[in-house]
Amino acid sequence: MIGAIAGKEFRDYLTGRRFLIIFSFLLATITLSLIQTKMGLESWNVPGSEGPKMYDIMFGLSFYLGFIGAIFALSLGFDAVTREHEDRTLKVLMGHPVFRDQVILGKLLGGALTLGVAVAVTALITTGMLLWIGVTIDDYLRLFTYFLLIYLYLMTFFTMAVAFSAHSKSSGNALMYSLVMFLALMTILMPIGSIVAHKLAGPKPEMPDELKALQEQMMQGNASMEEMQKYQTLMDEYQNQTEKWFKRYWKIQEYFQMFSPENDFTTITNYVLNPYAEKSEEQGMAYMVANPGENEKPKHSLMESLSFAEKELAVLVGYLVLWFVVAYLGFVRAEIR
Amino acid sequence: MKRLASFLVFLLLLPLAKADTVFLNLYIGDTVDVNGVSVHLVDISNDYSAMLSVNGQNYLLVFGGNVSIPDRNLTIYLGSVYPEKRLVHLILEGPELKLKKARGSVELRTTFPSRVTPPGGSVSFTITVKNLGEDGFYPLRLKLPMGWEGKLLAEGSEIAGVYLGRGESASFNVVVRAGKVPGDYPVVVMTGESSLRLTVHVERVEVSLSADYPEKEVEAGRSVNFRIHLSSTGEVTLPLSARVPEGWSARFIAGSDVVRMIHLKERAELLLSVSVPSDAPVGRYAINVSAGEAHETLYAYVNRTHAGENGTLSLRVFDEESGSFLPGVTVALYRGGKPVAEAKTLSDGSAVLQAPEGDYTLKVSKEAYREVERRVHLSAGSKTEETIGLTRLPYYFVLQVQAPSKSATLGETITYEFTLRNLGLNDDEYHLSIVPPEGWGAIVTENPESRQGITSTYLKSGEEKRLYAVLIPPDSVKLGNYTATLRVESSGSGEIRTSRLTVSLTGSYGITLVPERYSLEVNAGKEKALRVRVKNTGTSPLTNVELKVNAPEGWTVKVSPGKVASLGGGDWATFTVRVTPPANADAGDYVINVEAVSDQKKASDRIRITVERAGTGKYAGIGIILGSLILLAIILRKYGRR
Repeated sequence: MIGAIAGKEFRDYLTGRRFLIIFSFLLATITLSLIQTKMGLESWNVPGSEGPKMYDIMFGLSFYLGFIGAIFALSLGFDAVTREHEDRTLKVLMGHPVFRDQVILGKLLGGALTLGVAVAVTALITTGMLLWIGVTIDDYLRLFTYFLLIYLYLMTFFTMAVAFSAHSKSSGNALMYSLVMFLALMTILMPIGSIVAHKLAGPKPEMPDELKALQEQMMQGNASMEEMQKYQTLMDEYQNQTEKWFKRYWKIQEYFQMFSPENDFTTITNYVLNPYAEKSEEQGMAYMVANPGENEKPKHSLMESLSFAEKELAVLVGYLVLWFVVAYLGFVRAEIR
Repeated sequence: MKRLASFLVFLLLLPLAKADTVFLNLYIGDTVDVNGVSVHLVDISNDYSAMLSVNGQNYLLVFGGNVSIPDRNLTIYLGSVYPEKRLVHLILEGPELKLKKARGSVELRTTFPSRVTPPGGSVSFTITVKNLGEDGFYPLRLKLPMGWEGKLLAEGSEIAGVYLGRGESASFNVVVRAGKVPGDYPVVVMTGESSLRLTVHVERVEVSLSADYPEKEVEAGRSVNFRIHLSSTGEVTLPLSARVPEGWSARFIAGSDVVRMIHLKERAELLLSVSVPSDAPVGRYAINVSAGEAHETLYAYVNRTHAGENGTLSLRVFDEESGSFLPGVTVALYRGGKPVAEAKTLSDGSAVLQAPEGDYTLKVSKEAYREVERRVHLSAGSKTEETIGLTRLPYYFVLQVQAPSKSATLGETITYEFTLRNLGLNDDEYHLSIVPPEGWGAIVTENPESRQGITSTYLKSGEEKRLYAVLIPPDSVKLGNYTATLRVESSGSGEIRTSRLTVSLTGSYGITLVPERYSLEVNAGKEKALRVRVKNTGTSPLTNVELKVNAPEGWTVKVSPGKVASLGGGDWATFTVRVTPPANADAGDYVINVEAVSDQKKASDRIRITVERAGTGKYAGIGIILGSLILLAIILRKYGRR
């Protein structure tokens, strides 16, 4: 029964104009971006140098996939339940001998299938484009994992949209809630994190007056040897304190960033695509700079790279489960008139 | 003296008095007794008449006049009269004439007949004269040693005689200036037949010589002064002498003069300056000093010697015109025509030369200045200072060709840069000319770009000008070495300076390479060939022409042929380059550098190589894209239908 509902949903999605328009837009964006990259490569060629690596190019692509892809996922899910209300088909559906949970699971499965097809097509076209451009794909497994990650990421937004749809009276409301939540997670989380981190980390250590005076004296160039030594001691202490403060600050900031799916996606992308990416322990931010030239950096296996992003993966999966549960409960308990 | 001589003649004639005729000289006051007749010459007057007193009877006679005394058979004739000599000749005639000097009638006396005087000193005797005979005038005469002077003085003036009455007496002084030679000398005072012998003792003059410090220390090469004190008991003129060791010299200095003799009056002070040669060994040296009879030995102790050391000549050279010191002046010391030491002056015009002790010719010369020669003496271990002024020559110039030897390729004109500098005192005009190799063209120009020649140029004093000599070979010229002569003549001095300009004409070399294509598409791991043509664009052949290809690491490059031994002017050579990128090369554009190298010249170019991943990547990509689109279409077709 779930299969029938899922198949019906899958068909509905594919025939929907919305799917075709936004998916075409996504594909066009990616294709254009890659063509632009190819043209850039031709003019940017340095004799004898190695060509650009797969992760350099894919990293640039991730932004489009992350942003437009998320909107695409939202667009698929926001009216999954409300549409049935509005078309008054739900009652018809409920008239059949189906359980409510079968309906919602079928809907989710249908959406998942649709997204799967979309991601698969995107992955194939991207791979084809990369080959056509002449970029060396040194690890197909990582590329595959990357697209799996995209799928996971899009699924969180899709379930989120379905969850809002299950709780809303109209499609418009669901879309609004979904977009607000999407933007909140994308943009507002970071400044709030910063403010909270500032509050929790306590006041930033200030330069002591004595140190300021000594610094002034040093600038004018009339400090004695003893004063210079004292300045050194005080400065070291001050820097130590500042460093500690920054560590506390980043730690708190990190927690907030972790709740942004977009940030999680970017972080994991870096580890998955770049075998040389190091886990950043000191700061909450992973450096997104891939540096293929530096061979001193050790090359990590895919499992190692993934292990660096455990927390972020957990949060993404957590979101997926959370929205799934919310959607499920919302639909199952909904009063259907 | 004459009186004395005539008196002696008179005495000699005494033996002849027995003859019939006797010639007799008689002075005023003289009396002679002839056969008992007293003849006395009283006086002579200026009109050559004489007053004779014969036996107390006075006769006034002129030349030839006579007095006869018949009872004695005697006739007295008056001969020549010499009033200035106060003398007359008398001729006496008579048988058996006997002449007898009359007894002195005047007595001369003194209390102190002997006196002492230093050499050249004066003594005075007081003489008393008493008349024992007749009244009359008694002339006084003085007989002195050779070279002495004497006077008879009475009542403050000189006297010639004395008039005394019988029994009267008078006093007068005899003042004598003694001679220089010590000893006892007689001085005789005479009147008539009386005389008084006086004795003057000229004593010996004692001279003493001494020095304040009879022994002094001195450094070799310096001089030492001794202060000499001379004293004498009388007035004396003395020769001065000092005997010094060989090579030394000594001088007596009084005031600012160098003296050899001294006129000593009691005491005097002198300076003896002794110059010690620089090479005098350390030791004590005696200096024997004498002034006349006085001797003294002084000693100089040489406490430091400069034997074997060099002398130093410190020079400063300046321009006499401007007064400023001249740098870069050559100063040299010559001995016997050979240079011993040479130096150049520094920016402050100073120079220091060192040479062994001796006499040298110092030559000071500088370009555009008149050379100066000077005699200098250098002393071992000591410094001699000289300041020398140089005068600039009125006309002087320098011609300097920066690179007189050049090499050029066929068809080129050759330009030599040269500088004319007027270092003379005056402005000058210079005539410029070039004697080129036969058939060549040549000009002198102010601008190397222009072909406008000049034949003369004008330079103010101190100015310099940069000019260019341009040689233009004819078209038919052959390879080889050629010589031209640049000639510059000063119109001020007529001086001519020339410079040889040489040129070595060689052929030209040039190389270019022309690749068949500038971009190449190669599949990774596959070989691709490219032809590169190399041309000798010069006139001379290039040797050992080869093609070197600089490709990225791991690429295989083969070039054939490996080397072309010789490539003639204007000829082409074709090389084939086979490039194989490694199988794992990344797709993309690469650049290889192709360089044509010969012994003479080289040229290079870059070729872009596009590596494709064996073509499969591209097609696979397109295939995947198409496949995915078809897949999407199938899905849409199958499920997209309502």
